[in-house]
This record gives sequence, C-alpha cells and structure tokens, in this order.
Amino acid sequence: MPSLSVAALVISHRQPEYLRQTLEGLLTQSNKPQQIMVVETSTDADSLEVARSLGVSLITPGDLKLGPAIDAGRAALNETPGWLWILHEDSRPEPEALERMSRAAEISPSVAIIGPKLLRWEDPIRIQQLGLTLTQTGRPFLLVQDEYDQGQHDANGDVLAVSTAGMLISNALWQELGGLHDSTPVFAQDLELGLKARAKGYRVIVESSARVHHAGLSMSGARPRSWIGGTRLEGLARAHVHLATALWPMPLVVLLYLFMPLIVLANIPVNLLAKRPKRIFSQLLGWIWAWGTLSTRLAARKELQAAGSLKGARALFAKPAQVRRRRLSELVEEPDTETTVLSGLFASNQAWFALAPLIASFSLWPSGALFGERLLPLSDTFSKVFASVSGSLIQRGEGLIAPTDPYNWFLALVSGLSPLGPSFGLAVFVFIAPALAFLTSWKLVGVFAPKPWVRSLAALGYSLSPLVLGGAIRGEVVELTALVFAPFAAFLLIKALVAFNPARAWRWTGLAGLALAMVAVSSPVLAGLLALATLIALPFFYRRALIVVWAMLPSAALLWPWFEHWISRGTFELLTTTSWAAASPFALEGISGIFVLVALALGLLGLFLADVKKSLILGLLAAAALGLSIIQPISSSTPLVGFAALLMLASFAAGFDSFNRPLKLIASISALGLALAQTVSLLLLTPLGVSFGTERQMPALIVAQSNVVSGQLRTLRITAGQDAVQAELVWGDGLFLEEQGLASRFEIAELDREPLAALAGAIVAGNPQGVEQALDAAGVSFILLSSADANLLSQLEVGVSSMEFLQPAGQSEFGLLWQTGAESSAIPQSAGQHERREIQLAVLAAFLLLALPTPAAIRGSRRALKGER
Amino acid sequence: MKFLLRLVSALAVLAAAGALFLLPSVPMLPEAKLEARTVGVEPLPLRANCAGPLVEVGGVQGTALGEISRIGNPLVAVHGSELDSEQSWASFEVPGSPQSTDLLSANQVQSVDRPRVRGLAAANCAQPNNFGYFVSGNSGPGSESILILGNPNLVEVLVELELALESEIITERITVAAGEQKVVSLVALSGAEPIFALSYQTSGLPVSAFMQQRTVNGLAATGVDLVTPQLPKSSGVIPGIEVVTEGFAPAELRVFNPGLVQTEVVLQLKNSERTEEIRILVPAGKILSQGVSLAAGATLILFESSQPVVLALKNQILDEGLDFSWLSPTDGFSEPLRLVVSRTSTLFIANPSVGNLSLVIEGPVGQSAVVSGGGQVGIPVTPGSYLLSGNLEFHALLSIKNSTGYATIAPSQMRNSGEELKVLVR
Repeated sequence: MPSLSVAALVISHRQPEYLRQTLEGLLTQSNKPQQIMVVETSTDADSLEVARSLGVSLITPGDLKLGPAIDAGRAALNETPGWLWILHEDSRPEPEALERMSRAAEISPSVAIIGPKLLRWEDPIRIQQLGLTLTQTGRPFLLVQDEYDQGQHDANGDVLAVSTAGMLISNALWQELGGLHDSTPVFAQDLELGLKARAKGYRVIVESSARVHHAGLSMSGARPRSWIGGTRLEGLARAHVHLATALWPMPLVVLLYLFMPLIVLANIPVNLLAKRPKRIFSQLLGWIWAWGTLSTRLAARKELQAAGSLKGARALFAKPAQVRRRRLSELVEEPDTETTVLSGLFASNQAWFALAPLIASFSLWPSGALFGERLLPLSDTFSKVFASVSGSLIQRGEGLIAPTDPYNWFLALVSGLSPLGPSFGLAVFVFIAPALAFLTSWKLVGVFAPKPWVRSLAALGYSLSPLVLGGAIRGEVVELTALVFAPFAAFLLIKALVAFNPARAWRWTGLAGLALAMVAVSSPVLAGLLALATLIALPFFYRRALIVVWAMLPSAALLWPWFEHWISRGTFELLTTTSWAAASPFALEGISGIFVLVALALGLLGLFLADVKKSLILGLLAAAALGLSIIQPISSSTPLVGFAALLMLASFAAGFDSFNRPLKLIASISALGLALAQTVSLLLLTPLGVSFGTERQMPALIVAQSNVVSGQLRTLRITAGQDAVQAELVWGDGLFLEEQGLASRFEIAELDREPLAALAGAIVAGNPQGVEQALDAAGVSFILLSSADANLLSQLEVGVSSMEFLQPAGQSEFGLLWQTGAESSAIPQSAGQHERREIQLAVLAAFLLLALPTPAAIRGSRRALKGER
Repeated sequence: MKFLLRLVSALAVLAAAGALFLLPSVPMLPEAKLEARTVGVEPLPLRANCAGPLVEVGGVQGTALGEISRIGNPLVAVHGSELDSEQSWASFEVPGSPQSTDLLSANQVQSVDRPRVRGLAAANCAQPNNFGYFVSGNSGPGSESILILGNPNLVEVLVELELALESEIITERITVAAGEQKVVSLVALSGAEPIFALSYQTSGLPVSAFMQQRTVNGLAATGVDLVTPQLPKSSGVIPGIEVVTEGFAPAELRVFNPGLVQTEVVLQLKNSERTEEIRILVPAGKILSQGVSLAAGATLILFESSQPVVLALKNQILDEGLDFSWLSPTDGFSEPLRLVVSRTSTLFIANPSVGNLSLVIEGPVGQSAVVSGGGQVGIPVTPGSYLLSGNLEFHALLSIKNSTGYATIAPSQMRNSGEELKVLVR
C-alpha cells in the first residue's frame, strides 16, 4: 500500500448529484486520502448538504475560479499533505484510482504530476481523456478522446499535461509553481501548469490503470459561461491564443498579433467548409480578447519562459499524424436516431421517369433567347446580368431609385452556369424545369412515402401538371423557379432537422439556405411559409435547432433591400412578389383547376390513410399554402397552389401502403392514366407562350456603339400609335430582362418629361425647329422610330428624314434609326446598394461553403446509412 | 384522437380550398400610370404633286427607239394654292393648319387622242411619300407601264424599285435629281411580264409616284390611265366601280401580298341588288390576278385580310368610247373632304359603317344624301369646288365618263403629323 500523504480537494459548483457520487467514490478508495476537502464555490444548499451528510470537510469561499478555489482548499486543510489530489465534482474515481496513482508517484521520484485515465461518466467503457498536449501552433489537443477503452493506450506514460480533474500533484510543486493563474484562460490553465512543471524538470505522466469517471461539464458547456469566460469554443480560442503567445518565438508572436484580423478572416471559409461556423465568432472574440489583454499574455509568457527550458517538452507536442488520426476518429459516431434507409433515385432506377417531363417539354427545346408575354432576353454577359443584382437604379428615365428585382439573383445564377450565354441558360432552365421539378418533388415525397415507384407517381403528377409543365409552356419562369426549388428546400430543411451529426446538419442547412433563397427570390410568400413551418418544427428537433435556424439567413439577405424599400414606402403588396417577369394573378379554372381538384381529392383520402403525424404536417402545410394563395395582389399564386398540390400528392403517396394489393394496382394504373391524360390535354390545349430569337434588344449599330462607349449611350425610342406617341430614353444597348424592374410598374421614374415630350412631338411632326438643340440638351445620340402601323411609320419617316442634321442609320426589326450627332449624356450610376450586395454575396458564399461536402459530412452519411459505429 | 387530428387536417385543407375557389381574389394593386402630354407642334407644310402630262414612248408611231416624250397638258384643278411656277410639273405647297383637304386639294385630268394613246387619264395629286406599291404593272403584249417619279425635295433622292414578277424579284436603283421628274419605262425591267407588282422605297425623303398604263389592241389604242401608289392595308373600300355594258369584259382584280406569310383576302362585292363574296388565298410575296364578273350598275367592294395587302381592280368600259381605269382602296374621311371637280362626273360616296351616313355636300349646288350602311350612292356633279361632310366615316371616288374615255380620281388624306400630339414619356 503506498504511503504518500494525499489530501483530496474536490472543487464543486452547484452540482449536488455529481458531487455526491464523486464523494462516494472518494470515500471508497482503497488508499484513503488523509483528508477530503470540498470547496463549494456556490451557495447551493443541496451541494452543501451532500458534503455535510457524507462527513467530509467543507468550505464555501465564495464564487471563485478554479485556481483560487484550489488555493482556498489547500489553505483550509488540517495538515499539509505531500500530494494534492484535485478533483472536480463531476469526476468520480474508481476505488483503486488513488492507490495506483500513488504507486506511480512512489516508483518515479521525478514525477510531480500524475493524471488518471478519464472515462466518460455515463459510458465508462469509453475514454474521455488521456493526457493533454498541444498542436504545433499551440492549440489544446487531447491525445485520446472518446475512444472505446480496450487497453490500447495503457502503455502511455509521459504527457505534456493532464486535466485538473483527477490530477495528483506534489504539494510542493504546486506551491513552487504558484498554482493555476486566474488570468489564464480556463482551458489553458492545466496545460500551462504542465508546461511549467516540465520546464522545471519534472515529469508529468498519465497512469492508465487509475480510472476516473468524468462528466466533462466544462467541455460540454454545462458550466456557467462566466466560469469558462464565454462559450466552450470561445474558451478554446482564448486558450489557443494564450498558449501560442507563451510558446511561439517572439517575432512570430508579433506577427501573430499584427495579422490576427487577417488570420480570423482567412479562417472563415475554412471553418465554413469544415462545417464549424461557430468557430468564426469565437475566433473573432478571441482576437479582440487577445488584443485587449496583450500585456497579461506577455506576462504569462515571461513567467513560463522564466520557469526553464521547454525544449524537451516540445517532443510531447502532438504530431501532425496524431492530429490527423484524431480527426478521422471523430467521424466515427453512432447514429443518434434510427434512420430509415431510403433507396436512391438512381439506385432504384426511378431517374428514368425524369425523361417523361423532359420529353413533354420538347416544344421548349432551347434554340435562342426566350421571348414571351413577360420574357425578354438577358444581357449577353454574366457581368452585365450581375450588375443588375441589388442595384439601386432601374433604367427608366434618369433612373428609378428603387431596388432591382430580387429575382435577378436567380437570373445571375443561371447566367453564371451557362457557357453559351445568359439567355441560353434561361432557355435551358425552362426546358429542363419540369424534369428538375420531378427530381426535387421525388426527394420531398420520399420523406413521407419511402417506396420509389409511389414517389415516382406523385412526382410525375406534379412535374407534368398544368402548373409545372403548363407553366413552362406558358413561359412562367419565375413561378417555375419556385415550383422547382420549393420541394427541394423543404426536403433539405427536413434533412437538416433530422441530420445525424452537426457536420451533416450544417451541410444540409447550407444547401437548404441556398434553395430557400431561390424560393424567396421567386415567391417570397412560399419561402415565408417554409420558413415559418421550419421555425414551428424547431422545438421538436431542438438538437439541430440552432443550426437549422440559420437556413433563413440567405433568404433574408437577398430580400432585405427589397423589403426595406417597400416597407418604407408602405406598399406592403410588393412584399408578395419579387420580379417584373412574374405572371399576373390568374383564376384557377380549366385544366389547372381540374388538376388541383384531383390532387386535393387524392390528398384528402391520403390524410385518412397515412400516419397521423404525416397527415397533420401535410394537411396543415397544404392548407396554409392554399390559404396564402388567395393573398396575391400582384402576381400569380401558382407556386403556392402548386406546392399545396404536391403536398396533397405526397399525402396520397403516404397513405398508399394502406391499400391492399389489388387496390394498389388499380390506384397505380389510374394515377399513370391521369398523368398521361393530363399531359396530352395540356400539350394539346395550352398554347406555347414563348418563342425563341436573338438576344439583341436594339439595332446592331446601337449595340456596337454602346459596346464602344461602355454603355454610355442614350437613344430616344419613339413608338408611334394612332392615338398617341410614346417616347422613352433607352440606356446603352437596350432594356433586358434583368434590367426591367417591378418597381417601375408602381413608381414613376424621375425625368423632366416636358422637354422630351416636346422633342418627340417635333421629331414626329418633322418640324426641325429647336430639335437639334433639344437633342444636344437631352444627350441623345440615336433616334429609333417604330410603329405597328407601317403606313403611319412611313408618314413619320418622311417628317424625320426632312431634318438634314439627322443621319439615316438604316432600318431594322426595331424600327427606323437616325444618328443625331449629339454626344450622349452620362448614364446615371447605381449607388448605395453595392455594399449590401457585398453582404449578400458574403452570406451566399458562406452558405456555399457550408453546402460543399466534406469528409465529415460524407463519412457521417455513410455511417448513418450503414448503421455503423 | 388520431381520427380527430386527421379530421382537423382534412377540414383545414377543405376550408382553404373552398376559400381559394369561392372567395374573390384580392384586388390587384393598380400600377402607376404616366400622363400623356399634349404637344402642339407646327406640322410640315402640306405638299401635293401631280403626275404632269401623259407620256408617250417611241414617238407617235412607236418606232423612235428610246424616245420618251410628254404629250399634251393636263387640266389641273386645285383648291388652296396656286400652281408652283418654278416646277416643270404641278407641285403645290401650303403651310398652315389645321391640315386637311380643305387646306390643299388637287387633281389632274387629261384626255388624249393620238394613234397610240387614246383615252381619259386622271389622278389625285397626293402627298409625296417615301414608299408605295403599284399592282397594276403590265408589260405583256398590248400593254405598257411607265413609272413617273417626281422629287420635290432640294436634294437628289435615291429610289429603290422592286418588281415582284411571277418567278423572281428584280430590284433597280434610280436617282432622281432635286425638283425633277423621271420617267421610267418598265418594259425592260419587267421582262415583258404581263402581271407584276412594283414597290418603291427611298432613303427617307418623299417622292411623288404615278404609273401610267396604256393598252392597245392591234393598231387601235384601247385606253390610258394614271394610277396612284398605295400602301398595304388589312381592310379597305373600293367604291364607284361602274359597269355600263354587262358582260363586255370582266374586271381584273389584282392582289399582292408583300408580307412574309400567306394570307386570305375576303372580298364583298356589293351592288344595289346583291352581295357576292370572293375569297382569295395569296401566298407571301406573290401577286395574283383574277377576273371578276360584275353586274351592270355601280359596285362597291369591301375587303378584309389577316395581313396587309395591296389590291386594285381594272375596270374597262365601253360607253361612248373604250377606256379603262384602275381603282384602288380609297382613304376614309371622318372630317370634311374638299374635292375639286374639273369635268362633269359622278361622285360616289361609300359608307362602310353599319349605320346610315348623312352626307352634306356644299358646292355649286347644295345637296344632301343619306347612304345606308355598307352601301354607296352616285351623285352627279358639275365642275366646281365641293365640301363634303358626314356624320360617319365615308369614302369618295370621282368617276369621269365622257366621249374621250373613262377615268377615276380617289381623293386622299392631306395631313402631316403635328398640331395636337399626345406624347407619353416613359
């Protein structure tokens, strides 16, 4: 039996149950300490009662931190012991723990600090900690963490430091080193103590045979935040900075502090990609904290350097291979919840069904820029399309000060993805949109109905519906975007809520945020409904709630300038739509009405057959979507009605398993027949609402001239009708889809209209008096005259041609063109919104990084699917 | 409990669906509307140009190759202006407003009796234009088409001619000097084609254009006419088609489709007794000719087409002499029409509207008439200046028949843009 004199100090803070168990463990030690002293730093009556009832010494020095609390306990001991055994109230030792550590101390006189093998409190077959060390950059690092204890690490001996939970330390050394420093971050205190001991020439070891069960309340965030000095991550960030300051060569420390903001910024994408976004904030706070407490850090460095050489201790720092191994081992996790294994779209061969909507869209085969009732070509380059994203001026008159349409973000996305130009990209999207809708709805329906062919039936019904396929044929691009992305966003939000590890939850949240943003810029009401439904679901999935809630951020960021503008104007109706190209409100009749009625009938049947939870979710969500669809004062409610219909189809699919075999067969054949009949009637009855053409919006001469002067060109476009003449100042190479602003339909751009009206009138009348001067004053370089009436146009041409100072520049499909010789006035520049665009871009970039798959997300997925440990 | 939850869910869906289908939707937010501004601009002066004397190609006997000469002098009747003495051909310019035929109205009539040219030719002196169409082209045996182009501008004008023949399109460019007329025999260009359409287009400045048609039968001249250019129309009216001797010769209807898509033209031939309907399918870019048998008396043609077309009808009469005239769709007049008559004629007034037209004619002899909807009346008029006003839009045609031949004059609108213009500035 060892003969060391050991006093046990139990530092406790308001955890009576843990304390009771820890004290019971101490009282049953085979080698009993000479005194057990409980230092209760709270005034919790239960904790005090526990200590008193078990007959151990107790002091209540007040709300002290760990170091001072230990010092207070030491001071209160009856006798000065040779060794201190420091325990936290959440570290319950096994009966032979002290005996084994004491024996190790006796065997090696140079050993001054001994740590036990810390096992998980609730699962003691798993190692929680086995000594502490640092990475090469000074970040605290656990050599072993959360591994099953199979004796694989029992040979370990020397370590850089051990946790204060269960630490056996020479009382003399404690006194020599001055104990733990209050100014040192909590997570660096034990490491600093170990480093000092090593610097003084003492050994620090782990005695693997001594086992202590540790709940790790600090690391799990169960301690009060004030105790750690913030969150766990903030505490770790501070510890990292503190130890780096203490250990790095001085020039590097100087550079570290100088470039700390840059390092923090550079780490943002890394942390996002690694699905650890919480670290961004903690590193930011760590930087501010480090700058604010620089003198304290330098003092700590001086003290550590004065303790002696750390050359030998560096051998105990974590090797890169150890860091890598630990990261891989972190990915091995047990599924938290039972996950239903679903057959994939391709694995189940259901992807072939996506060809059906693709074939049905044959009339939309992309062969140029799309034209339609509200469809125009996009500008010819991505940069031009992107310039209209979140701009502050709409090209009307001298510029309409209103945000450009949020839907431009989707147009920019399409433009960026299309190698053959923005307009072609949009045409391709319209062509493949029904097929995409099949894929996204297949995924969503799968949440409620696992059988692949049932999902395919519902997805076919949706993608070939008059709302999706019909919308594509009618050229309703904005509604199509919402109908494609809404099922995907809903699916991803659900995946994020039930994700099996945080890395996957972050990845799904990243994807869901981006998909929801696309819904938001095409149908803000539907996006709002999805966001609201998610918020309502969060309490039921509280483990992922704080992650999933971030999915709303990209939508909020993209809609921010739009909402701000219209709320400030008090025009709340404009909050329900986001694009000039959105279709007008429509009456639900004809084939669309029949489809919705059939979907509702099937869905209502499904509500009584499916699992009650699914019925409730699908029914209430569909009812909300249908209810909201009534409030559409500006644009079509197709996205809401379509989404509600999909939910009803999903409800029917969810209840499908309740049918017996013959009924399933009949229902399947009927559903296929309905989908086929719907498609045929749709293709026969719906007139094609789009056409294809070249993307030029102005005569070639104007486009060429505009390119030469970087868009600084003004054209007076005069459109003559029998009753009135319409005059318009056109900027650059014309008004493209992304440059049309919904705001221009509801607000009138600032422009001195009288002179322009007089100018247009004089031109049309062929009266040259004052025209040349007016053209110079207006800075108009070209006049473009057009009329639907060829005879009227001819008559007007005679008048305009009589003005000798106008140079005829030919005839084109856009009308008759004259060059004025006047120099164009400068085009007003957008201003004021670009900084917002940068914020929006930063948010999107962050979510893109989150959405990228990483080993953590992929391996987590595989383990979840295989049910592996 | 489970059933209750299902029921709640189903009732929610039903209620929302009922509201969607039954409730009136939220009223649409009204869009911002721009107010049209009324701009008063002084319009360009009204200008009218006449064709001038008729043309004879090849001399009196037709043997002087390349000789093109003007023969005789037309009788030019004008209201509102004096003849411009600086021009070698009749040209008028009148500033002022309001612009209408009451400010300037002119026409010319010329009778000729020569071995190779005989008959009566008349034409309205219209505003010059920068483009126009003729469908009366005929360079076949016994027919001759001559284009008369006048440039009233101060600079020379390039005119591009396009002849749509049966099998090909021929283009030609002609320069017309400032203030000059140019006469172009179309025989060489049209390649002796019996039917062709001709269009002209300038670089912007307006020109006057007329096509002189002459026919002979063996050594006997059988008529001459002056045809004014037309603009394509989707609907129109041809009034005053007179048939003196029924069955003498069917009228020749020509339709040219200058568009890019095929079109169907529906014609209604109306006389006092019956209405006949003719449907003609005209391929894009093609000219068709069709004989039309007309009953004795006066016929009115109303036509409609899905695409703008150019249409004309050749009416040949055998009365005191043999002559013909090409009749084209006439302009409609909602405002008073000033018409100067230089020969005793018949004034045809057509009413394409549904209601009755009450017409008041002020002139040497005051008259009034009522024209039933879709009908026409012929009113004999003596030389003088007439002002016609009606409660509905009407079409007018002056038909001259005498011992020297047969000719028609279709008055046209006289107006330039300006005065009270509504301008909407976006």
